[in-house]
Amino acid sequence: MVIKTSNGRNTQKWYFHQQTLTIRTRLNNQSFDIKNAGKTNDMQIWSTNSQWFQIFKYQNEHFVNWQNGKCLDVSGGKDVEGQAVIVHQRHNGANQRWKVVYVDTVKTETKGLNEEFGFHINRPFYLVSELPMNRVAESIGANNITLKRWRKNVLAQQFYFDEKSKTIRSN
Amino acid sequence: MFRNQDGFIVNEKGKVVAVDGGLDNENRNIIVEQKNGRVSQRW
Repeated sequence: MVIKTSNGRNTQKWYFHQQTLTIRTRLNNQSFDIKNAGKTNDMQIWSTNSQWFQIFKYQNEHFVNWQNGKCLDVSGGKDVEGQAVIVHQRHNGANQRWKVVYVDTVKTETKGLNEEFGFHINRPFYLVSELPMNRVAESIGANNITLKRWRKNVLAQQFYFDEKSKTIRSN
Repeated sequence: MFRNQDGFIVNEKGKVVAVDGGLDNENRNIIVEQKNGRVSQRW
């Protein structure tokens, strides 16, 4: 992996692949990979295996390996064409900082019906059971949802559809 | 991700949000399960 002047080609386009948690190239859909199963500092593109040496998180402009904490780094800090990209201990230098520039622009709606998901965006709702008592779903703590009698203005009983994540969130 | 489809809240694998055990009691857990069309899965 090397740095080059931007040319718009697929060799320079990447995406996060949710199922494998890896960063993939548009060129052939292979993943970021630290060579020799993470035993070196050299980066390459390799068949996806989701081992720790392919898992990076993007944190404060750094691509940080999930396990060893090393960061994506322009070798030697040399800003020249074809310079190798490696991983290195974090030192916060400019050669470890990366901005993610999205290829497309996605407009996020803030209201209205999302017809695909069948929910109104950002509009609080109750999930009312059709069982005879018409109880509602209520968030209990961080992880559980239970059936409860409806009570006025209880936020834990209100949910909304978040357009950006396409998920239902607790109010 | 869940969709609101004809009174069912359906995830990508086709499972739906339901009242556990189909009992209309206070504090029953809300779960996801295979769709069976019963009223405990309707919202």
